[in-house]
Amino acid sequence: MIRTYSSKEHIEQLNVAVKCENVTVEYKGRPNLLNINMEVPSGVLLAVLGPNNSGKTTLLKTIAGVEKPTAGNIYIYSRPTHALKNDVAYVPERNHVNWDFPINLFDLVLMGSYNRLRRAEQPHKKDKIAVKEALERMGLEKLAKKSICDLSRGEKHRALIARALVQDARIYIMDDPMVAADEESINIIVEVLQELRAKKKTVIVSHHDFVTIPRYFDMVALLNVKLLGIGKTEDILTEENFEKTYGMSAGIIKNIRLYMDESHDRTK
Amino acid sequence: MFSMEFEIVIVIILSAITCSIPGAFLVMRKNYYAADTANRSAMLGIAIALIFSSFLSSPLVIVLGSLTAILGMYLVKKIKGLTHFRAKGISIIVSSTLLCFGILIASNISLNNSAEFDLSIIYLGDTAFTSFNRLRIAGIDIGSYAFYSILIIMIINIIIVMVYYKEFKIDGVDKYYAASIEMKEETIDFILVIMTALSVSVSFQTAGIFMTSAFILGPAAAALFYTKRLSTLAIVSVFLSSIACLVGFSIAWPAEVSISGAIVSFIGILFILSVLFAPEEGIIKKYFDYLAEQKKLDEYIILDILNTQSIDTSSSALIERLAKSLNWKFLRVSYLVNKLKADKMLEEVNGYIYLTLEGKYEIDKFMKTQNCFH
Repeated sequence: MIRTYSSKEHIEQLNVAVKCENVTVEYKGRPNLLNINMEVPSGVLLAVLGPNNSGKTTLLKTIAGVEKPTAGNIYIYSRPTHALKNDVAYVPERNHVNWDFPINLFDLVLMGSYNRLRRAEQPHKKDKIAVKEALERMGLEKLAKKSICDLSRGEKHRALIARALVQDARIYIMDDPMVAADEESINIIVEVLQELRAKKKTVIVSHHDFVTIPRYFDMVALLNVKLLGIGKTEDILTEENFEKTYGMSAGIIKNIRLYMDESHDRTK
Repeated sequence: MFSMEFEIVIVIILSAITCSIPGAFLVMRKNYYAADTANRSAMLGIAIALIFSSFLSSPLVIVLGSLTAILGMYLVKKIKGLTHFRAKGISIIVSSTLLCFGILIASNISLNNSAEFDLSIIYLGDTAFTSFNRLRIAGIDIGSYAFYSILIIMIINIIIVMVYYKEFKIDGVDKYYAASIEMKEETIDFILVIMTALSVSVSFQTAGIFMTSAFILGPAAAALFYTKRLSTLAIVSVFLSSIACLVGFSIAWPAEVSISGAIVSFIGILFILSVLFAPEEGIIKKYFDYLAEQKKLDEYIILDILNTQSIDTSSSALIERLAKSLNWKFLRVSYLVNKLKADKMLEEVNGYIYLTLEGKYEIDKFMKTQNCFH
């Protein structure tokens, strides 16, 4: 497997946010993930790529503590996942949420504060202020009173991220946060990802749009039940790796490379 | 302590409130079959309890009824996890089996003890009987047994909701998020199962085996048409069930027919009325909204054509041409064009129709909102 960190010493200096050690997750006797070993340094934006049914969602859920691995261990800042419910904010796929539930947007985002509250304890004023700020950041402040079932697809994506922002975690795990979202939502989400990185938060995102990967992400993990590669975006996005992961021709990679070169020239 | 009628009304209303509390959460979680499973499965426990106790409001009936209701719901969940069958199908098989065991035992008791025990009370419920079993402390009659048993279960339900309100909410909206913050779905499931089982068992005397499910689900399902907030939903569902109890009782008592039957019938009528006439979610309102939207879309279709296609004909020829190309009736197009003229979206100059600035602004605004992501 390819691992392309800048140097061994450098990686050791970095604080490891997430460490997977021989993680296997099975469903009805078939592995969704098989012996995943990886380390995600603190403060990076990592994209998890892979074809359908490659285990992307399972990997994110397992790191977030939603699913338990059949074998192996996951450590969040060197501690087991179950010890740290406040350190990980999980944004599930939009379709996994019951949008028919009778609550408004403000209440949905306020749920981000529930992990800090004791049983029967009600959210405090500071939690409500955090919700207002998160809604403003995601451009949803005017929709606070709107029922969640009346939100558009892009607004639903933004609402789930706003809830994660209220959690104020150290690690953000987002499952396809931009899929089928409108341009305005994608722009806001990308800005928020950059802001999180600036705040030294670690963000792990499953993503489908190959072309935008170099622009948005520092690191890429290629997954197809097994981890096929993890490292810096430019080192991992190679024709060989893509063929290994997707079994597809290298045409896409050429386009991405072209795009990366153009972006590089523009930044120069 | 109170008159018989007053006591019966209070017992029915408490019973309805007790049932509608777990009902609101079951409806929210789209877990409709759970009420039915609990209801039928409780019969086994109630029948066993009746071997030792002769009245339906006794604590033993409630405890054993709740235990078999929990057993039924647990079996459905377990079998669903292990097989590919749908929960609804498993629920019918499991709960019917437990129900039949219960009926066999109850029939046997009825056969051997016919003077004291009427089987139809279990099937249909009979609120009038609630006043017969009295609770006495130091020889003083302090009210019916049913009143206190239902009151206690209602208080338990209210306390549980107050303590676990956040958890119910998160679990209902997003199970994955709940799991990520260490909120166990199994715990919430179990709490709801206990609330449902207790409510079902305690409501047997008022609603009977065939009607308790409607008692649990009906008011909450009707309430869903009036509110989109969980807290309001619980309140509206309690309000609707209380109304149904009062109306059902006032009809059934003088007519000497089944009180529970009248109440559940009225719950059904309330539900149908809500489906039809609810101010925001009722199908009649939605139908008129749809018609209005369709009419608006018709206007936009005409505005878009005039905005994007150059049609250089006189007013009447334009209407004819539009009618032909859109495959609409002349009168329909004529009405729409006149309406758009009245709304100042179109104007007629020298017998020709043009789009006004307002019309152009309106169609541009509309087109901006019409992409596939909205």
